[in-house]
Amino acid sequence: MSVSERPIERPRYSCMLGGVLATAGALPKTVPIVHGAQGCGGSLAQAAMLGGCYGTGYAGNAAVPSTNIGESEVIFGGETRLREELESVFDVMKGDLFIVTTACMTDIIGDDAKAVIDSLQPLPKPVIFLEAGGFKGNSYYGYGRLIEELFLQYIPRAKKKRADLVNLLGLVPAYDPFFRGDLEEISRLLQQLGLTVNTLVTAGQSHADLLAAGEASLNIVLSRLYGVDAAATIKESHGIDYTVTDLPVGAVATEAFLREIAEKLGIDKALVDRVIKREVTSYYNYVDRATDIIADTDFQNYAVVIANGTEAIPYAKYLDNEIGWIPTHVFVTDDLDEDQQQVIRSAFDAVPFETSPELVFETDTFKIQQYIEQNTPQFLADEYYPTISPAFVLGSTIERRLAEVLSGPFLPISFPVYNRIILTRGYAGFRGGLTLLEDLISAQLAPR
Amino acid sequence: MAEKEIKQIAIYGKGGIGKSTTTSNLSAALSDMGYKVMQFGCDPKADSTNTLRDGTYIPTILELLRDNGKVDAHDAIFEGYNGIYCVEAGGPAPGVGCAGRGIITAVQLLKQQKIFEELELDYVIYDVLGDVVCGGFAVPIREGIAQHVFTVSSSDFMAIYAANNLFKGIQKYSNAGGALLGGVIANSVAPDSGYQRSIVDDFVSRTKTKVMQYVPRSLTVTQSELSGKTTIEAAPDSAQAKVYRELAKRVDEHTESKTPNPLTQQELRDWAAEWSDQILAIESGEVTSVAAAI
Ligand SMILES: Nc1ncnc2c1ncn2[C@@H]1O[C@H](COP(=O)(O)OP(=O)(O)OP(=O)(O)O)[C@@H](O)[C@H]1O
Ligand SMILES: [Mg+2]
Repeated sequence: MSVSERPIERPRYSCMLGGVLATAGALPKTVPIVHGAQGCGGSLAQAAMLGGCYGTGYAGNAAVPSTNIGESEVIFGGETRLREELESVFDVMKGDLFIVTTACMTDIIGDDAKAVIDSLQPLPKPVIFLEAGGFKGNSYYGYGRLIEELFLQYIPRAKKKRADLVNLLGLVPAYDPFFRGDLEEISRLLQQLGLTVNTLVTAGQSHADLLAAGEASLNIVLSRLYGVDAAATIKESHGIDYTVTDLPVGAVATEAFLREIAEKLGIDKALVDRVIKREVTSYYNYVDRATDIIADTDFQNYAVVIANGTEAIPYAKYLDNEIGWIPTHVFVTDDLDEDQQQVIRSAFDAVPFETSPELVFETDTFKIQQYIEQNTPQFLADEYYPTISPAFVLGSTIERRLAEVLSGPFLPISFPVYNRIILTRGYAGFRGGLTLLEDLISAQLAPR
Repeated sequence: MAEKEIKQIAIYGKGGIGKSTTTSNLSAALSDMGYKVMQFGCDPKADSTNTLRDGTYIPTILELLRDNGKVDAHDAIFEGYNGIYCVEAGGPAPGVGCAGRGIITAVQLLKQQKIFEELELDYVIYDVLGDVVCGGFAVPIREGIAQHVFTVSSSDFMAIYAANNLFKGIQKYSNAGGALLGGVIANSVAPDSGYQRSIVDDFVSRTKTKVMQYVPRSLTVTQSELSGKTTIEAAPDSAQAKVYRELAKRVDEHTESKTPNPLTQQELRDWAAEWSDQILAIESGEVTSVAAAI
């Protein structure tokens, strides 16, 4: 997609700084500080709110201090203003870690923020610095860069690794709206395999956990695209091996995921079998309960999945492989370059779909609808044609219109999702798979 | 009373080529002709109007803005030689901030306050920093600011490259109602300077513009500058002052500026190569008269 084709309305991500701030705001007792123009912090707080009402937390989103530079700093340079802001923030805000970022404007005028930080030695607490001019990339990129710098500047390089310690990467706070629930479920499962799991960004993580992350023996990247570069950098810097997998959603995917990780780490197969058996039994026990309503309501749908590069394929796979739906289209909504698209295509091709959906790269909401309308016979003629019916739309909140066009129920699952609050909920793993089943059935029952 | 037509002129050219010297003499000469003139230095160095004010610096618009948060245009305007209004945009110290944005801010600030109309100016002359490195420095040639651009250039290739680049900028904005090119002021080029003049003449004919004046290099300029004055003020009877007065008269009579026809990168290189061959030939004595060779 060329630059000029980028949608200018209803974007599905924000800028690099947006990703950095959302992520920094999820780290334990961490204070991000923006050196940028007055709109950056506030607007990006609003943007992150579109990730299931993400919220402020410790010192994130609406509480992020900013230098709010104006015309005078743009012309004469904003380093004095930054120094003043840092001194006040260190004075009045408590935190175990400070993350100073630049923004578009300060990167363009070339403020040397690093030099300002260095001149404030000794610093009261650890400070990480990164250039986060929004023009450098989107929020997913920002997440990856912050994780990278977190390791490079904060997390000690441990020579000795702990065989039982792993880190989870790849889910971007707010922009993967279910990141907490997903990470917690994956952690719960890996813990049963005897592992200690750092998620870095969920409740309960401490700075001790963060600092220990360098001792991990594996970084598990739960996204084909995001956090992968960071994991590669960390392998270089900290000697931590990494593996890139799809986010596992539902029993089939999660069993495969656990076996893959267990094999990587050489975990006793008997233990893995036991854990999986227990989980699978419980899972289908619940599914069994749901079969009555499934049978009663003819719960069988065509589906359109619209989500980012991390989530789209796992959801489509779940619908097809686990609950027997027919996903007709999978729209990946990130603005991806050719290489990234290839990564997604390969992951897509590896899924054993019963009926293969069409994979489309499109970020524009209207064009997604148009694509379906212009490529589906039911919209082109009055005669009898196979139709996408009954249809179900899994997408972001802005896909509501598409659901109306397809006359089907709708479950908002991807960014921007602002018509539900998401705290503990997740769709990954066994429990997440069940939660997704619940939500899908509930959406269908909601009009009753 | 019908609103007075203000003639707004921008002077561009390579760094150090003589823009400020030429501009100040032009302002002084126009002022002597009875016009109300403002000289607007668009350069963080803020030294454009020095020779109009006995070699002194004036507070800049951006300094005032930085110190007070806002600027009343009156506070940034200082009278110089013969009542010429002197203004300096100013800007950040080298290596920090954004000088281009500073120029935009300073120019807009004066424009918004309608100070040109209030002062009933006849001429506003912008003296703009050498290389148009970013959009900010193009502001005087964008819509609604200057109508005419004059480029100061010597016969040095680097100066001509800069002039050609400027022509590209003018061409770019010309469709959007930007300033057009009035011509080239050939500085440090005497009318009888042989191949130096021929180089400039050849360049203007290829780019479809004209030479406004040949301004020779002159010790009078240096002497006047050392006494903190323009040549017009310090040595009004000198031959050099006459040259500047002639320039002012031509600028005053000038009405129609045009979209220039800049050379492409390749054309410019070929053109320069041709000329260096000729110059080498001249210096080794093979050719004695360039005029004859052309
Ligand atoms: N015709 C001339 N004869 C003698 N000296 C000259 C002439 N024109 C310019 N100079 C001298 O050249 C020097 C540079 O001139 P000036 O400051 O006007 O250049 P400028 O283009 O404004 O430079 P900058 O890009 O740095 O603003 C000055 O010392 C000036 O006196
Ligand atoms: Mg100058």
